Amino acid sequence: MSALEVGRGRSAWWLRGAAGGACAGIVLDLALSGVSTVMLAVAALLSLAAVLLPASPAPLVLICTAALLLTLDGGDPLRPAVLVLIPLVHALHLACALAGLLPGGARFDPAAVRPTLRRAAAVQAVALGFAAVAAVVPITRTPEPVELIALLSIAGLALLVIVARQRRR
Amino acid sequence: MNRVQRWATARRTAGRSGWRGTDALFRGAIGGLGLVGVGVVAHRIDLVLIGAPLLLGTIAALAVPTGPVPAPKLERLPAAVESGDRTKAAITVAAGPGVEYLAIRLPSPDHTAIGPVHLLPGSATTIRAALRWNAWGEGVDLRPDHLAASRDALLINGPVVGAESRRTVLPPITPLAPGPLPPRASGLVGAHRARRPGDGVELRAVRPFQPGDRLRRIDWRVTLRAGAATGEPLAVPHVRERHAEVDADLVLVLDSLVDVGADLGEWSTAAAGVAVRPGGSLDRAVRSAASLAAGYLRQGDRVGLVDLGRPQLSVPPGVGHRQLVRVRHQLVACTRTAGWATRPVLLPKQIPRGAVVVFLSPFLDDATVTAATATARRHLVIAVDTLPAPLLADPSTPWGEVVRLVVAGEHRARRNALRANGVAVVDSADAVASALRRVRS
Repeated sequence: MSALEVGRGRSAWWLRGAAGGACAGIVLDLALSGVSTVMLAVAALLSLAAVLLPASPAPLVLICTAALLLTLDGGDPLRPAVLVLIPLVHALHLACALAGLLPGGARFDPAAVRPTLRRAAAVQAVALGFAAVAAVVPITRTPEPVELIALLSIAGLALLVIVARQRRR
Repeated sequence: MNRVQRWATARRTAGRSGWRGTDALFRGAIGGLGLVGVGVVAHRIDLVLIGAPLLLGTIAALAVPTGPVPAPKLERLPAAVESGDRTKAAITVAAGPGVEYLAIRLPSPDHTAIGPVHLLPGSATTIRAALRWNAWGEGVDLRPDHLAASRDALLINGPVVGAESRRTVLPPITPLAPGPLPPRASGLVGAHRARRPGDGVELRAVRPFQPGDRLRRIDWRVTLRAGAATGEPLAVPHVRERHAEVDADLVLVLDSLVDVGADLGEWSTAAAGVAVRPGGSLDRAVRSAASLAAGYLRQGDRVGLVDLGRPQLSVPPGVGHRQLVRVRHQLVACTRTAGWATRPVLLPKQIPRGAVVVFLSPFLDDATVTAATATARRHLVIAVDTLPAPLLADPSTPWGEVVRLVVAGEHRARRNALRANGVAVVDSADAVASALRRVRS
């Protein structure tokens, strides 16, 4: 893109609205999964905090709370409630990232968020591909060497993120 | 500022310079990695699947380097513009491939002043924003505060406060028909008929030829008729003498002591966000002064400006387009300090001999009326009453209507006092020409 005419754009409240929609989806998902009322209230409060303060730890706490509440009950790991949570969590993460950039009364050009949406769609396709693979792989006890390799892979990924961040500076 | 505060400020500034991570980076990297890690350790594939998009998205976003810090550059715009003008401000940005967002403060069609922050694609190299100047005066119309963000807004640079772009919007000019002015004694060329002979077009007298007369002025018909009457065919030649046409001096006296609107309830408060109250007495006075100056300068007369509040801001009489630009700039400068002077100052030396003086004032104090009547003893004075009419009572107090009646009565008494002292009072600049014709006849 070379030249750009600044028009009216859309209100930045649409980004907070997207974050609110993702939060509402997460809370609804938890409610339909039979989570206790107390935890639902906690999730609702975290949702409110995430919408009002998108550049705060609230979205991360909400994501972790929802993930742990849904997975620690020992149900089917690929049930619909979990599969729905995957795009909702990602949508909340991105909406809060963009909403946290802008002050009150700001506007945004819809063309600006298209690359992010395209990349998010690709990432979701990969994540759902993992889920499809996990659905067809037989569930047995993982051999110790494979588990060790997986842990080392995670450590490698962490190292990759740190190195990439150091290179930015 | 002590040493600890200086150290804290330096730390804060250093922390904000260059690229730095956001909450989204922490959320994507630590949150994603934590969920995947816990999922692997606890043998829960669902936790891995929930955390995987956050982690993969973060890695994909950080894979592209952000590059140098983008610095938006604003194209130069004229320092002075006309009211009602519009243009497009161009801002060039050189951003690296990893810069996906640029949040920049720019004017918007729906907003006044410097506008809201716009989130734009970081790939744009030239950003154009429409600018329109509706109200005259001085002000900041562009301040491109900006913040650059990498993919998924994981890293940011800024916010950086942009350089303010100030502009002077000159007061608008309404076409006015200029009226007759008394000619200047030392004038050479112009549009007003002088008493002395000169090179104008209006006939002054027919008289016998004198040494020094031009030969082309000889009226041969009159000469022959005079010869026939006296019986001498070649009698004394007669010449047609014409009036000189010279310019005139007009001095505009601006009352910048007060700026009031029609609503009495707002007289004690400043107008929000503007230096001059739109439609108020000073706004009307400045618009009238600009229009009168344009009309008489176009006619070839000399026009000057006197600020009643600050004599040092006055402009001596002059001619031509440059004088008009000078007067309009000075009108804006006069309004910058409006309302600070306590009493009007009008020195006799500020007004040339024989000049016509136009007072532009709401006439809300006796001192201004006294200055106008004192000037009327030496000059022809026209008073343009710039007080908005009708006045509106303050509805927040039961005394509002009483106050309105008192103010209106005092104002009426001042106008009568001006008329009684030989000052013609008109309500707008349009009526100055007709008042001059009436007075001159």
